[in-house]
Amino acid sequence: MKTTITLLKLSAIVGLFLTLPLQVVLAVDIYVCGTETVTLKYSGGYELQSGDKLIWIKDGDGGEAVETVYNGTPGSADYAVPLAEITAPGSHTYTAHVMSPDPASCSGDVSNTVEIIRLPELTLSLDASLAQYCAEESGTDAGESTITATTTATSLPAEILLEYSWTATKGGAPVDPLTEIGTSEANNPTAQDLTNTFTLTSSEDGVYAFNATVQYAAADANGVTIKGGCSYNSTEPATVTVTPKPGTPTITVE
Amino acid sequence: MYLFFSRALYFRTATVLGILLFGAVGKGYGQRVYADEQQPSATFLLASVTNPGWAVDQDYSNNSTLNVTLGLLGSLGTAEQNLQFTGLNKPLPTSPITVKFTAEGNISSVLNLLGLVSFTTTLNNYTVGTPYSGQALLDLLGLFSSGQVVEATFLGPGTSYDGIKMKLSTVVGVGPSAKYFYAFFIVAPTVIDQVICQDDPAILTITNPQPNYTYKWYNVATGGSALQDGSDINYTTDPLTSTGQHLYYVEAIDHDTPGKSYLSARVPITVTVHPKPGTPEIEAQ
Repeated sequence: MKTTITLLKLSAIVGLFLTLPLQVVLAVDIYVCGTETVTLKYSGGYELQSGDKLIWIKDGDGGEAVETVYNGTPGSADYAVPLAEITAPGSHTYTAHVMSPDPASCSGDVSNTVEIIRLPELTLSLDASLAQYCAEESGTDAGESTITATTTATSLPAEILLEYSWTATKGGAPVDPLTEIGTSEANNPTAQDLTNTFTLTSSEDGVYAFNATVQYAAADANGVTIKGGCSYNSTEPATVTVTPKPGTPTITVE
Repeated sequence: MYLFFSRALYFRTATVLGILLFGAVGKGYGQRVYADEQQPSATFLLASVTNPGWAVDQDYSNNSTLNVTLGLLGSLGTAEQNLQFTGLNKPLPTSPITVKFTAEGNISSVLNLLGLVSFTTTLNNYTVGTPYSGQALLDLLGLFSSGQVVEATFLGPGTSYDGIKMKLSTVVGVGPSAKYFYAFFIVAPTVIDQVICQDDPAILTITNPQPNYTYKWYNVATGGSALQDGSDINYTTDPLTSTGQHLYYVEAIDHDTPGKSYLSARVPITVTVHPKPGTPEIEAQ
């Protein structure tokens, strides 16, 4: 019995060891958005000889191979990935191997895999907690309105950080600084936030129109570069009307 | 008349073309190339070469005859005949060359008889290489008796040559004669040099294979043990791990004549091994 258990344990350990390479999770190398593209650079591992070809293969063995030739100038074998190759949102992977010049055309081993993730377009909508409030608190009126910006996107990786910014007008004129009329929520530098708020606390009556912008941060939560600096404006402004407090009525007896 | 002339011209042209294209490869003898031209020479009145053309015709059973008359009053004659290869196929400097001959004379010692015969490779009928005569010839033949028809195979001289000359001399009181049947060499195998990648084996293939031939593959130019010996026209090397040039050699052996085998020159094949590129590292920017 004891022998059986020991053998089972041993088999499990060996099995775990053998499958270890399969369990390695591919790390993202770069994110891109919008119309931004990527250059795949040869960064070492083997000293290229003039005339060597680099064979770039997209998405594994079934992908299309592209050839660049090293002419002795650093960077000459790099591959500027055409936008059309990585237009679709999601993951795009590349590997490369070196092929020596003809007639030998010797192929070297395959490089590490580079993963590029194209980020989706973002949609930003605004919603005010109160469309109007009185300039001075009265009754249940809190005297403030919270405008919430909500980001929606398809298949947005969880580690992507978003940054929000706000603009406002009062009666059609820009409000600057915004702190005169309220406060915006600080951006979260460590975790993804799909919402952000601006709290309008102005007691000055008028019609306030708010717009917000969401953009991808320069890097994700793990420090991986997000290339493109894409920003997306709110689809519709949010409007809050601050109404004046009615004046004190004068009552006369006649 | 015109038609006859045209036909005659046609056959003549075809014959010349055939000789040019295939050399004088004897019918039924694989890639043996027989000498097709000859140059006789004999001391006036003292020596002669009769039927000289029979040493270079397509009938390998007939022969030319070299005669030297008895030496009189100390005057010594010589008869010699050079058999030449004039086709496109020439012997390589290291091609062994085989001749069929006999010699006879009123002389008690075989060694002395063979001392009157010499064979020397030639280029354009000029001597190149070292003559085989006397003991050297006997060593080559092993056994010989006066009048015995034998085949002898001589090593190539190591330099360009296109023929082999038999020379018959005399001494006072002896009038030897010799018969010269033919001379031939075996066309060396041809193998295309290979360019391969590091850690790959090279596959060497003979491009002019012949039935009844075997091939020996070596990694040394002379001597050594064969890496492969047989009728297979391909030889696959071990995977070659070191870059640069590697030399292999192959020689053909003609087994067309039962019980006999004739060797070709051992020819080199160059395998150039290119380095296999290392594993690259790439990054995205």
